Amino acid sequence: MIEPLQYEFFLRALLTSIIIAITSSFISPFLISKRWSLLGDAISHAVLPGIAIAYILKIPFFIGAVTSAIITAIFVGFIENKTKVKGDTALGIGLSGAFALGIAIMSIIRTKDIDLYHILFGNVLAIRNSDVILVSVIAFIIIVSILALYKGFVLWTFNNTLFKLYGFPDELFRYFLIILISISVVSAVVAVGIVLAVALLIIPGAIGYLIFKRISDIIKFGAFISIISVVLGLYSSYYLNVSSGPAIVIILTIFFIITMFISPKDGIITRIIRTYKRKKQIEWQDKIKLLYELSENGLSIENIKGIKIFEFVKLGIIEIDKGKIKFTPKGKELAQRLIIAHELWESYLKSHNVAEKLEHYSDEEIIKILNDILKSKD
Amino acid sequence: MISLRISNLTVYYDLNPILIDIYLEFESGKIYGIVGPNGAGKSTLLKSILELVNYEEGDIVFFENKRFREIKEKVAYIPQKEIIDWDYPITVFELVLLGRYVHTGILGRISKFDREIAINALKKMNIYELKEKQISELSGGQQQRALIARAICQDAQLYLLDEPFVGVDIITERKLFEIFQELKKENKTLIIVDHDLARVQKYDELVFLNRKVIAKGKPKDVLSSENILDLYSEKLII
Repeated sequence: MIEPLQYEFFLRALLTSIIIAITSSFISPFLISKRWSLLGDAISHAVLPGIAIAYILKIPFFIGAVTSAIITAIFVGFIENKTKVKGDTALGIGLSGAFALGIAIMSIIRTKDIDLYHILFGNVLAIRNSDVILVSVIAFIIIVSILALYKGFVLWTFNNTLFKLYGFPDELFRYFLIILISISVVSAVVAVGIVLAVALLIIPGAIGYLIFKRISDIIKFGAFISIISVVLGLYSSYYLNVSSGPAIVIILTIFFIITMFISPKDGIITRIIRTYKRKKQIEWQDKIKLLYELSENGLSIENIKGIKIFEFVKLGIIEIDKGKIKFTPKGKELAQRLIIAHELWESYLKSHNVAEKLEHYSDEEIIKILNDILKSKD
Repeated sequence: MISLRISNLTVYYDLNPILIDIYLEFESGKIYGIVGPNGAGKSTLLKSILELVNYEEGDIVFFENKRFREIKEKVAYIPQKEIIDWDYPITVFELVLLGRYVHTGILGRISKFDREIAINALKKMNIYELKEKQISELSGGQQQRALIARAICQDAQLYLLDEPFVGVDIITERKLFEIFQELKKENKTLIIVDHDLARVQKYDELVFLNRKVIAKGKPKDVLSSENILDLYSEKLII
């Protein structure tokens, strides 16, 4: 664990990747809730021509990258707004057009100063000091902007109409968010390259989406999971000799898949368990109802076969006194609610089978309203 | 008091007239139903009131002589449920609290006072126990109540509701009308867009709208076979 930390290049890579991981997590939930994942992808591909042109013009790569990213984003918005072409198609055009332009320019200039493979797939282990500064500045801008305008971004992404009605600047926020996405893409490109940059921007948020119910929690957890991913990615790159960019993205993807199954909120396994529990609950309620109806006819314990009496006692539904079954107040209330709900639904819908199902989903409020409706019908 | 006065409103979409020469007045303490078939321009009317669409001609004033921009916090828009992203990661409490943003602005802080207002709105709508749930966990009726709680939290006087009964069962519909009655008692104005004639008796005042105002007044005066035929007839005489 300690060994790679002796090397300056590894430490630098680690620090930079962690900063990038945090930065991306701040943008991630907004990108996802706006369904702009593909926009992130288009912007990251648009970085390539920017870098190539910056090389020709001898200006810093960063400026070229951000400029072409923003131009592409605006171009895509223009196609979407001014033609009948839908958003995803517009993005597809922007993405492939910009990427093709970048590759074409690269193939003309054929320079050894730019390593195309590194730009496409990232090589954070070969990072320069200037990149560290760039990434830190981007992180600062993004984190401060999101924290300061958090309420605005939540309202804007959640309900754009309300945002406008409240008199807030809609267009300004749109372009500001696009600019923030563009610069965060540029920083993600440093870590994992153009092709994989979008992964760093969407996977942390996607994981959070499956677990949390607040944007702020998604950001925090996204940062946490991305930091773990970049650290694991860099170590596996060092020890297993895997490219660092793909290693990071593979680990993030694995985290996503795990979450998809075990998320307490909406995981696939959680859902199966929930359905099973619900089914069990309905079975129990049916048994309670049956038992109650029988006990109304003076049933004693010897008469019952096939029902595990002690379990009902354990649940506090019934008590047994001198061999006689007695419902507890709690048990009585539950059983009567089921029976009343059944009767009401049956007289409302004229169907025994449907009433048999709906009784399990009827609380006091539904019973009361149903009762009112039936009364007003008479 | 007159909460909203629309005069001489005409709205075009491309070259098609969507609303033609609309004159309407809405008083406080009343529940208005704006009824008409699909494509009659009901939503466009709401959007014109909210300045979400441009209108060629006409004048819309609030509370005697104010413009929308001056009193925007007094007007609450409750859109059709379908246009809200119910999977958005936001809790019921946070959703209701959004109503305070019009007062605090984007940069302002949410104070304890704002939170208290939001909590009262939740209690009033009977969804206080659900406040920490994500909005995706709510039933259709609860979602509708959460949206109304947001409007209450905003401290609105004029409520514009776009098809609140779509996809809502009869039980929830009754509940919603109880809520509307309560708001009416507080002297609010409710303008409810409704495509269906099933509920017309429940409104205090009706507006039959199909690009033009076909009839307006109390339900018993407006409901005549002539008016209903006019309202739902395909051909429109301009």
